[in-house]
Amino acid sequence: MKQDLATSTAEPLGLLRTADRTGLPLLAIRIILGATFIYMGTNKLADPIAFMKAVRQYEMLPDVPGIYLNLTAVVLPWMEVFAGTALLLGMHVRGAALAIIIMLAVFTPAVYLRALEIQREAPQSFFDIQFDCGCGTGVEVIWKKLISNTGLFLLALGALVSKSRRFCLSMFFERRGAPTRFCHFCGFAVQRERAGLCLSCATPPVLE
Amino acid sequence: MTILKQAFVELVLLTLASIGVALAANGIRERKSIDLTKNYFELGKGGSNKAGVAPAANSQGSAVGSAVPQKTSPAGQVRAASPDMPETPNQPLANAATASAAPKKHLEHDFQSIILAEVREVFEDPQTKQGLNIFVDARDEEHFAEGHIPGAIQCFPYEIERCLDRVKAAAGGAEKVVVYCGGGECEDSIFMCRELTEAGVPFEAVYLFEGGWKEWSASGLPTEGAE
Repeated sequence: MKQDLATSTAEPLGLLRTADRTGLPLLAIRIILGATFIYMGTNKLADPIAFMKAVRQYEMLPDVPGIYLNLTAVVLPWMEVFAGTALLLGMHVRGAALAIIIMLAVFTPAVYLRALEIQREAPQSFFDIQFDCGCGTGVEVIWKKLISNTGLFLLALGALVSKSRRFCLSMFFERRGAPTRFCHFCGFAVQRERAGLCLSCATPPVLE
Repeated sequence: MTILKQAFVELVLLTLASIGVALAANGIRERKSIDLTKNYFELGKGGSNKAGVAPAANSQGSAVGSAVPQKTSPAGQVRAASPDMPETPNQPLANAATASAAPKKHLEHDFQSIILAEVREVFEDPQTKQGLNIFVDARDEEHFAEGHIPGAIQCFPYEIERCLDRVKAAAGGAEKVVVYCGGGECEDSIFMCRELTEAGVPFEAVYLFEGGWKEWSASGLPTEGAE
């Protein structure tokens, strides 16, 4: 990873890369995703049985044997809480982002298909469909939920590919005992420095 | 590739941590813990195990063993058959269909279904006051506290160990055990019927009120609790 970070500094900086270097986009993503998933996870933890029944409505897992459904209802809320906490703290950011991507990639199409099923059984405008999707936020208007999930998915993708570790707790641990020196501003490995900052941060603009 | 590899390793770590904490937390929580090996949604005695049955098929299936014919709406909602009964207004039912917008996906079962008119008869039967007919509310404690049929015993089928002895004691000599839950798409009453029959309550004594609390409370009949 360090090698990856080091080589990245040599790459030409595009607009996104420049923005990523500030660490602010990732920080915003971490706060939004982290808070959202901690909130949704704790809501599910408050009533795991309701969550189990909600998961069952998608018919992705068999009723018998019940262990798959039961295990999903027990573990998934904690997975969300752990992923959210990891993002907020800035530890294992990529793993947390990947976990969120997988969860959203599974449940968003499931919610969509369930909405279509409801529409088929009780014909109505798609924009009127609302039900408790088991997302931890109660009864929701489904088209809004789908858009919000897509947004969260894109944010998680952003967190996955971001190379910045500024404002991340993991940076603190990586620096300790690591032979490579890291820029105090962007968090990237320092190849050449100027005034305590890596060359990428120091020029331009010149901060001397 | 490095990014994905790192992400995958971290994902495995997060997953293992989540599983560990989840199992530990589930094991020590006092309420609403999940028994991992239990088949919560399996019907033993008194029902097939086919899930996701179309509402109409469900209501026909549920009529097996019922002595009294019942009317069923296209949405699968059991309605009052007696003309002198205050039939549940259409509006709340229609709202229920669109508000939650999730049509019923009841399991197919063979428990005796009972409609609102009959439930009222049982409720007003003098034998009920003597404990010969009992009502079992299969919703959780929070919903029960918000309002229930007067005299009903609360027993949530997912926490059956908390209340089964109490219900069995009450149902021991009862002629009719009327089980209900929230109504609409709620299936908890079906699973409560299963728990009761598995616990030794005679199948013939168990009656399933599918209209549930939604239908009862909308009909203006007496209620107990916060409402």
